[in-house]
Amino acid sequence: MTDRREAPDVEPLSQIAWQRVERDLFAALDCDAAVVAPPPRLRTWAPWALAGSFAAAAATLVLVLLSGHDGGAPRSDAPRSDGLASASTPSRVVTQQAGSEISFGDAMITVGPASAVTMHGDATRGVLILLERGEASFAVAPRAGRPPFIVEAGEVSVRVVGTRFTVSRSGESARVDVTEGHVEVVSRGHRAQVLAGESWSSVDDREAVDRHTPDPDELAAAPFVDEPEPVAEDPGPAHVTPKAKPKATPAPDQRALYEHAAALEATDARAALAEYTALARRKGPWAANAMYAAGRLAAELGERDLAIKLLNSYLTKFPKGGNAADARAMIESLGG
Amino acid sequence: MTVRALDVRRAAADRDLAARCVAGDRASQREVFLGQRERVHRTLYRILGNNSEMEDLVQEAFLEVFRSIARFRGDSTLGTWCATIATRVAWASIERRKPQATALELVPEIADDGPDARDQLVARDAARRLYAALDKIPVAQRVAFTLATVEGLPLAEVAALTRSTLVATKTRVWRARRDLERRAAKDPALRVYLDELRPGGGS
Repeated sequence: MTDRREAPDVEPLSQIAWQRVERDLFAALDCDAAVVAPPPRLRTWAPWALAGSFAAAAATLVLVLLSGHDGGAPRSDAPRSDGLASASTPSRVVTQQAGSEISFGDAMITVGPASAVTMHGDATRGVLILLERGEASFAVAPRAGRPPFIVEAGEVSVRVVGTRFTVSRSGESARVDVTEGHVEVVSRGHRAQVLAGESWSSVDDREAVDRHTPDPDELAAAPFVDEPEPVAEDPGPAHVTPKAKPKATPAPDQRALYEHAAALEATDARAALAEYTALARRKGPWAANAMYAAGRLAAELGERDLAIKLLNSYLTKFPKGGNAADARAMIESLGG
Repeated sequence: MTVRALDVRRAAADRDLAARCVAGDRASQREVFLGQRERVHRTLYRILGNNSEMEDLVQEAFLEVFRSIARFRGDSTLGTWCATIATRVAWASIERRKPQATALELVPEIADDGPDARDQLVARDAARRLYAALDKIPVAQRVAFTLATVEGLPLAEVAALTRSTLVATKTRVWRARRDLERRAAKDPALRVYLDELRPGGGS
């Protein structure tokens, strides 16, 4: 092979991409260490059962919250206080254009298109579902007397009481729509009961927390944001929005814009950046996510200065935001 | 120190590192990750081409590395062990779904329009055509061909990575090339590219 011409260059992964892989890999390994049990019965499953990425990191965090753990890495010999049993071989389902329906434990799970879920446990020991991306709907038997059934998506954990509900994930944020029964949602240490006909969004919850802890620094004019944030409203302790009161849910057009930008990343990253940037300039609950996403994407596109500017704007505006730690790490890695 | 003695020392070091990983030592696992990530990525890239799921696949490969590292006996280097697993992950990925060939618009834009930039564009377009053609041949042939011809690994190493015999590997590479040659008859850009990849071909 010595005379051959050059093979196509290997496109390197960016430093940020490597950091993301490393973070998610070790979070998944932590999750492995916490979970030990036989694999569940699956009607449809990917041939290689492998644990998830982003959700795993969040899972570790949320499980700590649920169990009152002191923050150390979960150990396989440490019983989980939430009663969840474990599985040594989690199963992962990744969908493309079409969704997929899965029978798992005593639940039916409909995985939406372009989604990924990892499933741990079984009906006798309890089930932990990690929604890595996209959307999944669940029909779960009432849990009275049954082992727990928990869905985790980004920073959000949903403990099922017995219900039909849908969880959709966008980045580290998630939305929960309950059709029947009710669920308990835990996000960043906050709990909320979501009843049939209600929706819950981590973005609403996060902004509510931000508004509850006013900080003068937050009010500093971010050079990038040229419109004021919405006037603070007290959303109540649970931050749950009945569907009959759509006012407190994210504006549908903003959500749609955000999701459109997210979908666009794979095919036209620069157009996605423009959409995130436009959305970040607007008022509303999706501006924070859009501003962070714009910074992250700019970094991935090699637009270092723009990325630093966007991420700094995000931190100025939302210093306690859900992505603040990632934003700081990214700025540091960019040498900002 | 002789090559043989170096090999023995390296094998012992690899086994020791693997044992620490099995014990759950995060620092050792990170050492393996940092030491092998380029090779794992390169192996996946060569087999799959540019792929929007590359980060997921690298992560899958390392999860499998750490989940199966208790079975590492030191018969090969840790690097070869990791590359073998990356090959299996790529193989499984192709079988799960036919990956889309690299869309040119996914490739970062090249701002400069000088000769180098044009060469890069031509090379990327040729690579896109190659991987589009590879999508249409059996996965075993694709894996063998990309590792042997695109990456340029010795056939014996490709056989080891794919847990196959040398004869079977040679046959797969030959069949893949024959199939690609047939497709290249209708695609001049692919034709030129294959000639450049041919041992002894090109300039």
